[in-house]
Amino acid sequence: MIEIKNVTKKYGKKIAVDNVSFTVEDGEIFAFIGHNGAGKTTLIKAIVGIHDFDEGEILIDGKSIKDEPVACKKLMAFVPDNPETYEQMKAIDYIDFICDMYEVDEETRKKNIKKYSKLFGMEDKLNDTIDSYSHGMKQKIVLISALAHDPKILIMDEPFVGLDPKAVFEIKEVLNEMVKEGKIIFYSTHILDVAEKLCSKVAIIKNGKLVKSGSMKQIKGDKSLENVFMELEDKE
Amino acid sequence: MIRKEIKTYLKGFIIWTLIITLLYLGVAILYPHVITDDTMKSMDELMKVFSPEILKAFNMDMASMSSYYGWFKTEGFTFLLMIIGIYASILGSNILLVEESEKTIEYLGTLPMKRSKIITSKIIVSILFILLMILIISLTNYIALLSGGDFSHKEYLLLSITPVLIALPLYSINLFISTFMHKTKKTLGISLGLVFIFYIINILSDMTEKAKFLKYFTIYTLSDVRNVISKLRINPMMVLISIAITIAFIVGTYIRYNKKELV
Repeated sequence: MIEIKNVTKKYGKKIAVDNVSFTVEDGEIFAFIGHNGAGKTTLIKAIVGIHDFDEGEILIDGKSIKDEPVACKKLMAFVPDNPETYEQMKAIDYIDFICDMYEVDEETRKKNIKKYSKLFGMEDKLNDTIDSYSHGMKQKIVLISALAHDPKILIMDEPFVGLDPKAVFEIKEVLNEMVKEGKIIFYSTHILDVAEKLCSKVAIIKNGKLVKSGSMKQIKGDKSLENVFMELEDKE
Repeated sequence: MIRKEIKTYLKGFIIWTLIITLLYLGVAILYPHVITDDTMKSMDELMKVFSPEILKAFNMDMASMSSYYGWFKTEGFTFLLMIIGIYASILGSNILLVEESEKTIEYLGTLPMKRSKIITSKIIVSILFILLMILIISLTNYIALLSGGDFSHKEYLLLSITPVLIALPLYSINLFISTFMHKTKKTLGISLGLVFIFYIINILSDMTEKAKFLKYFTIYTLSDVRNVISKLRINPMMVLISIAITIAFIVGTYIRYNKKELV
């Protein structure tokens, strides 16, 4: 479970995330929505332990990300919006490096790398250096390395940007499979129709403040998620 | 993590080491052919033009340049100290900062390890490469010297150690400075500038008695070449100061980096 309790993050005087609270239970796909600069990435970076925050608490399966960062990070995998990888490395070496960090055993590593590289059509390209890849291929390598260590919680920031339709379809299948196993998927997106179809829960953030949070049915009612979002955006 | 760092920086290390080694081997091979009695005579004439202070500042009063070893002890060694200093400084200013500059820290920071582990892995690899570079250059030079005639083996051994005394403090100072920055763009200028400033201060401090106090403001004092050659010993105080500076700036790096807002 992810528990966000009264989290505030400031950059100097600017409040990027303002007293945000919500929880994500096991077995949920959670969509985190907001306009550019709303505070999505800032909060995601606080959850995954890259950025510190000024007030509040973030608990991952009951453990505080501030007090037990390594234990929390072991449960999570992060897919950033821009796949900034080690360009001069071969993809397979990069995935192996990530697996080493999570202490993944040889058998699981081989099985998962084979499974996900085949799924994303990257099987024959793992021995190429990452600098020869397109944006979408880099994103696939980051996804493979995130999934290869079988995380309990998958956190993604705009995961579908730059991916081909087949890869998007395959990811959705993988996410559904993970949720059935009781895992958590938390992702930020601007593609609202995908979020509407895929997610069981949603939170909408505006100017650093959480303006709506709850089950997808509860939030959208009879409207589409896009309509709900646009109405909130138009409100001053 | 250490394996990844070795792979990342191995290419640069090999290129630097190869170029420096080939340069010294080239000079070692060509030197006996270039330096004849006639050229030595003209060189001696040229040396008379310089004041003793200038010759002292460049250690050119310490040995005759009639042999490759003589050249190595004077000009060759000064060049070696500069180039090792530059390599150590560039490595120090880049190795941590590059993760932020290229935004790979966004992913590295989410992996289950403490920031201290990132710093430790990078420091281990850097020190390994710096020491290995000095060792390889010293060994190849030693082989070149063996085939070129007589020289003091003890003196050479001591001279081979002294670059370590300047390289490690320069590395740690640059590493510490890099924790105050977010991009690697300006670091090359800072690291090169630092080496040249320290080197110039060192020259100035050797030139006149009045400027002698400047030796307290340059890392190059720690190489203590003049004493190593004249007394055939490394001053333990220089070793202690070198270790103390290195440790102080490395500790500073840990403190700064663990608190730093990585962007």
